[in-house]
Amino acid sequence: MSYKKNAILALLSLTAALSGSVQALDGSLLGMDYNISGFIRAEMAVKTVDEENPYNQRGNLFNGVAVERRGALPQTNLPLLPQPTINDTAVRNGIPADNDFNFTQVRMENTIQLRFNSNWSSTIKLRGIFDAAAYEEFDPEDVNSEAVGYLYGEPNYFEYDDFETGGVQNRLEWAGEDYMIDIPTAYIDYQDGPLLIRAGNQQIAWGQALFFRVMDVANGLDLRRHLILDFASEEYADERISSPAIRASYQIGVWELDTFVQMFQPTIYPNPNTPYNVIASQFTIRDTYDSVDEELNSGFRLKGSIGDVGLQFMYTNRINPDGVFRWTKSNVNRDAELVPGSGSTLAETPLEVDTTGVWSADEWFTYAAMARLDGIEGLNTLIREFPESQTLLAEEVDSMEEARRELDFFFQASGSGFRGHIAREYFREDIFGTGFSYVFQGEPGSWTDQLILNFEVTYTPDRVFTNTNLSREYIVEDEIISALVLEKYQRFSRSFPATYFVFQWMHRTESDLFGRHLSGMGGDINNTPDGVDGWDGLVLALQQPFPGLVWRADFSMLYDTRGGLLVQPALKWKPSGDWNIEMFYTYLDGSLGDNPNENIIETIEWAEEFGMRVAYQF
Amino acid sequence: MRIRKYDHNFSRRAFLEKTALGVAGAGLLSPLWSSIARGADMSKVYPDELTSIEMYTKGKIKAGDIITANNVEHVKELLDPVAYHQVKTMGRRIHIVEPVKDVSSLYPAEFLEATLRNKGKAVLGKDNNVYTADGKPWVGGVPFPEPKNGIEAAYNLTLSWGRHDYSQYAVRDWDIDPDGDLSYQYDFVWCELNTTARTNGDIWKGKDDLLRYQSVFFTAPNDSAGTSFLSIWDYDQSKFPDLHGYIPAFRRVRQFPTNQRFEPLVPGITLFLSDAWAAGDPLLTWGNYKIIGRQPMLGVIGPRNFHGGYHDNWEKPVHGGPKDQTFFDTYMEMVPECLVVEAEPVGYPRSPVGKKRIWIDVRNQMYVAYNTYDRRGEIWKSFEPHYALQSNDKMTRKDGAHPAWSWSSVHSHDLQSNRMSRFVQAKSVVGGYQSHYDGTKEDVYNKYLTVQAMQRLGG
Repeated sequence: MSYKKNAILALLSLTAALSGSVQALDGSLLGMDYNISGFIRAEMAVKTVDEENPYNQRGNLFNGVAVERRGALPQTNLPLLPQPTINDTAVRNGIPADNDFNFTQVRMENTIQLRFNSNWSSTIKLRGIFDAAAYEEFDPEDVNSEAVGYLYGEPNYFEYDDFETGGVQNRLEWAGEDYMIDIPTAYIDYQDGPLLIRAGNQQIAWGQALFFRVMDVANGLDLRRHLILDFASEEYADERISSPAIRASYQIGVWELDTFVQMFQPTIYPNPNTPYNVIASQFTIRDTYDSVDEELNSGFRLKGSIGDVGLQFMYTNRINPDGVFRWTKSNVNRDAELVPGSGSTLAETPLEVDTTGVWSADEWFTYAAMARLDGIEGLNTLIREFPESQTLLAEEVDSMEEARRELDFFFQASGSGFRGHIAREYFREDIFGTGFSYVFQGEPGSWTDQLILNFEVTYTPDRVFTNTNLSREYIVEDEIISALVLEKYQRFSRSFPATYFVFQWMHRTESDLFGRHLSGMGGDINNTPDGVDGWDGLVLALQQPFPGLVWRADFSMLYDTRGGLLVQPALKWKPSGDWNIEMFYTYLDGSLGDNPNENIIETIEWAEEFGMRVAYQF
Repeated sequence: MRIRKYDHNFSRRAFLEKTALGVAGAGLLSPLWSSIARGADMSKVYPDELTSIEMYTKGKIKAGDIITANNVEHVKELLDPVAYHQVKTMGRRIHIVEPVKDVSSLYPAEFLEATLRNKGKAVLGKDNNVYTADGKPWVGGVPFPEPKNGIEAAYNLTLSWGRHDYSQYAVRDWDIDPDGDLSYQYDFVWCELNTTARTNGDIWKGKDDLLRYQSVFFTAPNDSAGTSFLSIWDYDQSKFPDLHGYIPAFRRVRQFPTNQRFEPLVPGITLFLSDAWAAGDPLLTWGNYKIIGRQPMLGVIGPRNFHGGYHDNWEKPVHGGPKDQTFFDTYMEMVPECLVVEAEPVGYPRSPVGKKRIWIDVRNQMYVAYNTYDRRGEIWKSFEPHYALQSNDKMTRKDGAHPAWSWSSVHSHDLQSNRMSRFVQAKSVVGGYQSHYDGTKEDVYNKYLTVQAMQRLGG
């Protein structure tokens, strides 16, 4: 506990110390106008629930829990031999954590703006983040883990690239275990009449919908820092990954043609055993980014209006930055405890013997459902696509009962558990989109007075999804994603400024908001998923400034119609020009529907928290 | 002491009669506009008591004096109520200077030429918009030099805010809290490009359905830099502008509703969109315009209020308030005749503003004082403009062949919360953006007044 206190004090002290020693600069040098400014910000989030992140080793739902295992070999393999059931009790040796904090970081950002002349300008932003790591961290020695892979030992908060050596994929980033420094913005603008060219590292965001990414498809997301649980009003400002690109736009009257070509940069998921990790840490991920790191994305958008109706059309050819996952060979030669010499065979399968793996069929099916996977077909695929597993007497199964027996048997044989190795691959896709907008002009003061309506829709033929059985035969289907957005100011009081309302409805035909295929929805410890048809989410967001805008109250709500609710009330306080304080409480409930594994909130329910950010700008 | 030709109440009686009878013409001794056209000075148009503060106050105040709490009672009726309050209770000091004699120094030269050239050509259409006799958009200058009613007076402020076809203001703002401390400071750029009502009568790129493009983008401090808004004003003053904004958090330009115009643009500032030029909203979204009186005033209108040459960035000395920094130094002079116009925000049912009162100098039809009142009828805010011909004893800044004319600073004082936003039209602000009025200097439309420009300026 003293370490945590010291870490938080260190964060605040660092913020205070730097706040007094940095200052903005602006002026002119050799005919070039320059401006340097920035901020330093302490950011923290305090847990408000007892739940630990179940995807981490120290939050595993089975740590310390006695689980009855009833293992047996498949009967079809050895039909003439008796098939005794081996009963035992497994108690996963993970040490439960009791964290007070989800998030303890300090960041410093510095923006340099240069204006060379009327046509040429440049912006460079430097960002540095340090994680005080005031968390009860995973220590592999505590559980005798020998898991391979740079990220599967002690937590690393920022590196993620190479399986053996860590590092980063972003071309303008440097990172270590608890820090990262990057240049999210480094571009040059050239403007000549209606032509604007922006070349360099940049974010590209399209569309009127907020948080629901319909046309906002150019960039992946960097989820390492605060997942999607930041101050909701900032949307994905800190998450959207910048990428080296050339963007050109040309304005003709009310129409603007916006085009880009950019280097592909994938979404970055939080690392295993870090606070916001959302991929079960019994998996070991082998990223294949190296095979696509020279690929380019491109697209255009035409936006304008005819009369009072705004119109937009877009097309993007990209590699889906989220990637998809499948079983892959572990290449780990480590014997199962009860099967000497099995290591070389296991190396040819996705399995790795380790205490940080899965210990029981109960754990297998629980986590399969949480990951929106099919536990039975996942097992069968592993056996079918990695035939070496059959030399260890593994065989495909037809029922939950058979699967449980076989799984428990192999977990018993392992002596600890099995980790599952999966590959992350990337596929190209075409996205076609259109949208329209209309501003209603109702009676002054009415709900239709200056009500802005936007509708956006995209169609992606042959989109590739992770198969719920983790097969290399991915799910390939056409997907339609649409969003209806209504927004307006409404004044309720003469003494308070108007309230800003945003209502949104998103519908997706094949995947949920996190991109998981809907056929994986609805499983649990005893059942494989039945799947669902269509994903729908509703957003209601309000912003209520106080007189003078020194205070602002925000309210954001995301409702997954299958029983998930995120509610974030927030307060933003700007006591002076230099200081800015934001406080937000994120309430999460994924249990409002029939099966929590049918909605997205269940996946992050453990992250309910109170967040606070204190910033000093210069 | 000069000899008074008319008794002290002559002007008061004359103004009351003109207001009661609805007489449009300005001037008491002779018609103002005939004199302006002849280049005559104001001594032929107004009695001495309206052109000399010394005469008006019977010698108690004269040019060169400073108005303080000790002598402000002598000029109380020449100040709007908020300015009086500032001097009386907050330590504001006002320098008194000799009034300008040449009315042309109250205008940009080209705008005055257009006003004289087009005098009498403006008519109010059936839709209450301003047209020429043949139904075309207004062709430049003050449309109603001798307004017959409040709506005509308000159009004089609305159609060409800055009185240049293009204006670019590099604005440095300081926000002072009730304790007199500086709580916020912002740099922003404000651009106005008229497509109609232009001084040479042309229509900019055929945009006869529009009045103007207007943008504002913040360049400092860090958390506000990049916040940019573009308003596209219809010529039809019953329509709200289209509003597109770049909010740094969203990383893109989005369309925003535009009917809420009584909120600060950024935290701590008391400037509302509605306040701009005392005519920040489409004219016909307000109503019940009426002229409620005529009176002399003290106004900040002379060239000493331009601080070019006195400060590298045209910033002004400050004084007053608890920390001696609440007010700019200002130089006031007699304005012989002002229209007092009131209007109500009929198109904003829940507006916190109940009415606005504007004091308009009849010589250039520009306001010298502007107060808003809350729904209870209490004074809420004062938006006090300071103008200047940009030619003082230190330097002259040209606008074409003539000295430039524009506003130089503003006191935006929320009396009820006692917060003061004071801002200057600076030479330049963070980012290197400069004040100027030349729409041909660069491609201002594409650089500052398009959705694409908002994206670029926002970053």
